[in-house]
Amino acid sequence: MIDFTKLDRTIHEKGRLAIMTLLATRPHWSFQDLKQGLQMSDGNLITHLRALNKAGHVSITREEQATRRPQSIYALTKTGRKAFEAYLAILEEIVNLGRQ
Amino acid sequence: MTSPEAAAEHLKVIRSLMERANTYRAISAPGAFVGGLLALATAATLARINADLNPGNGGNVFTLAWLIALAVSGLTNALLLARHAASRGEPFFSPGMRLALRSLTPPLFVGGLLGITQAVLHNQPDQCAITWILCYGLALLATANFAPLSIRYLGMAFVGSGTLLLLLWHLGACPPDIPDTTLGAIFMALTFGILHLVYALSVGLKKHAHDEAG
Repeated sequence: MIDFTKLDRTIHEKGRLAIMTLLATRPHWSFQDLKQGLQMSDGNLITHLRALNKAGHVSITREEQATRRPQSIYALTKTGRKAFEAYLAILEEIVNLGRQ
Repeated sequence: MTSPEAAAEHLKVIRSLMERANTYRAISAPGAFVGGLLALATAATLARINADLNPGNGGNVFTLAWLIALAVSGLTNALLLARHAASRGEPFFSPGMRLALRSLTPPLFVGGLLGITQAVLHNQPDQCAITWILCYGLALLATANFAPLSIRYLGMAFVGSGTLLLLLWHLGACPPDIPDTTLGAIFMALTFGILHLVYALSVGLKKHAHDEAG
């Protein structure tokens, strides 16, 4: 029996799931790269990133640059990666259940 | 609650996003096709004009000819990549492109410089060709973490061919009556010409089969 309470509600939202997915593919992402990769508006993206940061899934660091404005770098935290993997495992369980 | 269908859809979206974020093809198939044809044409021209060359000038002409070929094929590839990016609604300098440039630049810069030194300063166009073949293969392999399998195979083919040609050259297996410029042009035709054409045809055929399958 699948325990649906284990399904992380913060990740289980289309936009945040897409962000977590991209963050899982590389060690760190800049805001602009995430925006380009996901085709999201600035406001939407920042809201989701803040929600994920508040949940402890995403870290935000400000990187100083010599010639340009400092940029924010986003990365999955250890907790975030574990939560993402657990989320994937539950999705797979649900899919397998449907096949039985 | 999440239905199995919704869960499968979520997994499909995750997979497609991961593939898109992780894969970047730095050489388009049509770009490789044009580059391959151009390499064969450049090699043929060099072999033909070799008889008229001053023996001490072969390295300079060889370098100039291949730099022009590089500029034309590089520009063609960039235009094709820009068109492909525009059709997908992505910027030309996408994260994938930046990652590819960061990986490709060091081996290409070192190989380019070393090869030009061998050809121009030491008048050894054949050695220059082997250096370019090996370093180009290494550059392609440097993108292995995010490139499709075909680019990795192309990189391996270049490194393998370069190593083989280097061995043959050192063992004296290359015909001694062929001038260095012609020998270098043959090396370039066999690799930058033929290997690029094989790559372009195999990627093009695979894409065609994929499109046919719907």
